[in-house]
Amino acid sequence: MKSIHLGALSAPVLVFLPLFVLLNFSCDNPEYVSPDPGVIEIRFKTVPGHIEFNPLNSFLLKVSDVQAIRFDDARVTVYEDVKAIGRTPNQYDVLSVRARDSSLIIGQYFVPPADYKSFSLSFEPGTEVILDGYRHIPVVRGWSGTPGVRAVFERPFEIRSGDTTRITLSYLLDNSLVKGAENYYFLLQNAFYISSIR
Amino acid sequence: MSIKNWVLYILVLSMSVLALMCTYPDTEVVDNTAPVTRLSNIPPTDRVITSKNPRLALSWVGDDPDGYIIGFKYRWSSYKRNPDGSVNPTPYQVRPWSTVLNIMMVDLTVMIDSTYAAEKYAYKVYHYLATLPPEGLDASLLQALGRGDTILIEDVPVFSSNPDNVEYPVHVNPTSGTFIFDSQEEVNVQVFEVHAIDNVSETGRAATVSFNTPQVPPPQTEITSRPFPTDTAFVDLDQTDTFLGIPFSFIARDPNSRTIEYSWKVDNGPWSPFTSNTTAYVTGRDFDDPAATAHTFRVRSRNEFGSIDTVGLIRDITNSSGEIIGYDTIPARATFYSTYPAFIQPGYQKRMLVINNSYSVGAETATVSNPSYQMLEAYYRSILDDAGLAGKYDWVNMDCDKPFPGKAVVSDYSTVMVVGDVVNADGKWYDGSPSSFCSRSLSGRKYEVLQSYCYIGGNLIISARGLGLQPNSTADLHDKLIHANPQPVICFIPPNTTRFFSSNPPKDMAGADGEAGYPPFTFSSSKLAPEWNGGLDKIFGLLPKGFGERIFRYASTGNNGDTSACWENQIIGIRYQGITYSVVTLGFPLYYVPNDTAVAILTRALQDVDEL
Repeated sequence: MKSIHLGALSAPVLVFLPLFVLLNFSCDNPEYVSPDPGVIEIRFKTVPGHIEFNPLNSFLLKVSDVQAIRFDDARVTVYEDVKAIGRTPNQYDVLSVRARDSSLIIGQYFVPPADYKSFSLSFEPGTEVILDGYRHIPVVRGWSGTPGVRAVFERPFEIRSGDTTRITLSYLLDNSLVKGAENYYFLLQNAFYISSIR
Repeated sequence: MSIKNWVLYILVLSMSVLALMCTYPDTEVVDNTAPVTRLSNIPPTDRVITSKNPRLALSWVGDDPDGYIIGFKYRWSSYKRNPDGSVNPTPYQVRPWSTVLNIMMVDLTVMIDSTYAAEKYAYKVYHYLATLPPEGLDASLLQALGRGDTILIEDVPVFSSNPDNVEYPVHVNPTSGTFIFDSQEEVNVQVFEVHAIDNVSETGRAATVSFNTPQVPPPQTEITSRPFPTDTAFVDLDQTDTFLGIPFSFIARDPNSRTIEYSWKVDNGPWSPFTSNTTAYVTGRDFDDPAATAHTFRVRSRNEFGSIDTVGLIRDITNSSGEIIGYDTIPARATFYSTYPAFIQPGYQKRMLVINNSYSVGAETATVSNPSYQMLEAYYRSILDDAGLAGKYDWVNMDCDKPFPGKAVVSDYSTVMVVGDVVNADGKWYDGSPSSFCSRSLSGRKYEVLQSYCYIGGNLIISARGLGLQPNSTADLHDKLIHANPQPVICFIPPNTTRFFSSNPPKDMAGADGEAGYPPFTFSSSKLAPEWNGGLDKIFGLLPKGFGERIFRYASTGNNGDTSACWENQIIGIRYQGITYSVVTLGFPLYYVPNDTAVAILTRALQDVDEL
């Protein structure tokens, strides 16, 4: 059979020439820039009721998780503030002056800009209400089983790149903390609603 | 093209033509072989068993030589016996076909609604469930099945026989079932038939079994707890946080039945639905007339076979040798008495009852500092009138010959005030033991009257000295009504002594500071004996509990140095404003407070209990 001999430089040429052609003429390099994240801020507001806002009165909600949920069901955990590196359970006094004035922030973090369909809150009610600094009233949950609940608030909102979206979650004290003979009952029905998104 | 190549080309072309021209033998259509069904644990054909009770567990298997079994359908027919002992050939009841699929969703059996013919729909549902992806059935559908809901699979209603809330399901797997056969006659003939269904929806011949089921006696019901026959229970129309209803407990015995349900009624009212609850709470709405005082409570039970007890408990009567000589029937009914308090009825005009529960000082030894009943009554009438209650209260003095007001009496009053302002040398409201006939301890029956009165909605005001000294006044009275517990006061007395004081030191309480709208006061010096040095003793500290709030703090004379300082500001007055009732407790005697201030305190207390 006849054989064909190549010159000394032919091997490298045979390897690198196709590579050169492939890299320069086959790869596409489109222009692409990642958008800056937006900030979601979730504020908690207690709607005044039968218990006064008073430094001597307190009722705690322990919040363990806040998530924003995108329309494609992707979830983003919202930490306590933009400097946090993780979410830890925090207790918030719903009878504090900050809760009355809507300045109680329970979640504030960077999230990808997109349209979101809801956010969720995992929390646990406290086991007592303290009145006048010395009266400890037990709180009985309106459900059996684990003390924690996960509430999902379905209201679409948009996160824009570089902007802060503020969501105010209002807590209806009178609907939620109902006085019994020897304790308060903590109920979930009609206890929360989203009062503003800005 | 070379010769070699031509040869290769022609070879390939020829083979292709040959393949296309070939004919294949016709496929032979083979008839489906029907499945075979067998019942297990059945007796020989020449015997008919009679079961112990109408509940029977049966099991079966199915085989299909040319396919597989996708489910089973079954039913049974019930027959009566003729008087001559023969079996009436016409069944008096034929149950509709039930279909259970030969597939489990985790641990749930799957059944098809009986209105959907198995032959037409079983395979469709089975195929869907059998060809689910590895994740299985959608979680929400699985949960629904587990709850006992009916779901749609391929537009066919499907449910589970063993959801979470069924304690004794018919099926726990597709090849067995525990059935309860209707058995109204003494002996009932049942014929059970089951078919296996194969993958082409063919069922084949049924496997059948006949057996007898006996009629079983109903359970026997007994009332185990009820209001005391001579007692009167307060009743309201509806339950509240503190009034759950008049309780009755009952139990039934039936050795044949796994489950027993109960139904009850009062007077001529309707029977309640059957439930497994063994306690009933009766309210005024269950009566023919809420204001009527005498009622009859009845309860009946039903076993899982549907037999209802209407007789009650049957007890053997035995002689001295233990032989049964007869039977006694104890009907499951009870007569009881109730009071529908006037103060919770519409149109009631508020009125207060003042119970003078103080120590009785004889007229010959009475002084301003140690008043007699008449002096105490005169003082209270003046401040009650000035507080706006003139003509709206009644006064009663407790004495050895006067029993504590009962429920029928207090039910006419929206507020009861207990006055215990005067004590003996030991700080008690009475001489002798708490169980003595003249005891004024608010314990036992007296406490029961006060507690049930408050729990039905009555209000209470207490003015007392030595409240913590009255036996059994400290436990339930404090814990459940006053909402404060007696609090020993711990005093550090220099240089290095710590002492516990259950009550205040002698001659120490000068007055009190008020909170929550109550005015401060200093005891009236004209009423304090000179040797008391301006201060009262036999006063107890109180620790608020739950909704109890402080309304008075102790003010000391300072007569006892460090101990006086230690007692300063201790809580001695409590207000409880609950959703059903309110209690104001003045842990000091109002008698010694100057008139004007006493009127102000009383007015505030009456407002707090909503009497004014």
